[in-house]
Amino acid sequence: MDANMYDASAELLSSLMKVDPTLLVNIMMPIVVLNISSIIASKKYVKYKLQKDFKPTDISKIALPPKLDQKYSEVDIEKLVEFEYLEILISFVNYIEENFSNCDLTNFYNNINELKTKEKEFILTELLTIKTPGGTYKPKSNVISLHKDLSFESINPILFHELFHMASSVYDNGISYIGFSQKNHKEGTWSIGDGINEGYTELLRRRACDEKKELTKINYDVSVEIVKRLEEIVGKDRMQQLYFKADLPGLIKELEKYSTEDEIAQFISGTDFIYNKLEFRNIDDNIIEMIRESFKNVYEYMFKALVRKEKLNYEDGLIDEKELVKIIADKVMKYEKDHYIDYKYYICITRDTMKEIVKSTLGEDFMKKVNEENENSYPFWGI
Amino acid sequence: MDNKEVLKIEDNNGNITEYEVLLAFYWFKTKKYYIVYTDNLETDGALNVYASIYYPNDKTRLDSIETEEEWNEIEARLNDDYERGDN
Repeated sequence: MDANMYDASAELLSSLMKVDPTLLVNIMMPIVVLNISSIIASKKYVKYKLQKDFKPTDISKIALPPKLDQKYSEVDIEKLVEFEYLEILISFVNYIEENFSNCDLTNFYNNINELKTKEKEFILTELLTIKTPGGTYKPKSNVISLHKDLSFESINPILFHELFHMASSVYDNGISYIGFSQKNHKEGTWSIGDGINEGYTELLRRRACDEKKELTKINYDVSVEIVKRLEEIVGKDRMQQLYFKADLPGLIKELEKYSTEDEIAQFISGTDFIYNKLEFRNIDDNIIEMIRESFKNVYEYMFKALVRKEKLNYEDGLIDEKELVKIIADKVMKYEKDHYIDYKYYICITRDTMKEIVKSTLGEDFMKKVNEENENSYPFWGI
Repeated sequence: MDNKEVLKIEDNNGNITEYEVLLAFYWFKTKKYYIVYTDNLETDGALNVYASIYYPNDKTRLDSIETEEEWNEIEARLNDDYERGDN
């Protein structure tokens, strides 16, 4: 994906004013909250009446919204014969058709039969970022652009990554919907959801490809770690379905079961900030501090949502108390995370923070049971 | 940002009616695609909502909902976002 410049104003403020970094995250939040509110505008609580006797007759033709309009229901190999990396493309098609439900693949079938590729240089991105991008995908033109100097070993993972973008994209009325991201080209170009989308695209790519053929991008690794945890909250099948349907509103709706709109906005804003900033050259101390704060907020949010989800499962009778204790104890044991990137250390979440979250959500007594469970399973855990 | 999705139905006389799509889903139980839409008009203070079965690669066909079970499923999904008026 191209470098995203939407937070340039925040960087300018930082260098001019040396303000408290957390204030800058809050400045960006209203943009994300505004866009999330417009994304979930369907939540109207309006009274409705189902007109069961209505039967459209005399139909000549119908026009479905682009996201539902399936122009193709299968891959037409005749159309793809000219494709430069046909073998990789066929391998991708086979993987998709074997592993994902056909009813979720409208975007895949619509795009693949008219897909084009070209070579290009990424001069601006190379100047600004640490790593050279291998490729991009543009939904409006349905073109995958690959760097003209790609090494032989990197073509497969890079092309697979961009093909996943292709399989999960639709362009409609000036907006590119790409997996979990949305880019509005009409109103001065803003985008939302890049962090989650790039992470999930890369996670799916790694599952599809030989894991040894990693794409070495720092922000991919970081984003993959985040979306693995997000997938635990939403559920793997549901997350995949929402991804291929380019359904960010659907993802937000799933998260609303366990969190407020503000919490979700801050989470998405934080993942975007982390993803977009980590690969820039020469980031100053204020931005580094903001990245630290964003990591903390993102991981704390995900752990809170996970605990709330399990609490709901318990209250709904899906699990008993013993199972709840075991699940939470296991999470507290294994969820701790930090990153060491470019000689800087970022703490994402600690066990102490997790314990506080469990206490505030499930109570002090419950936390004692979690402690006992972990002492039994991991004798040295309290040290 | 305007996120409304539109369904257009053209009759044999060339008249086109536009509806706002509220919901669309595939139900594994029946293996059918459902689309729920409105003309944004009201009857007795409640929004008119319609539902049909659509076929992603057939642009000439919308079928009626046949069973109560399908209507119940549509209502259940609608009720996440909308409040049912008197039906």
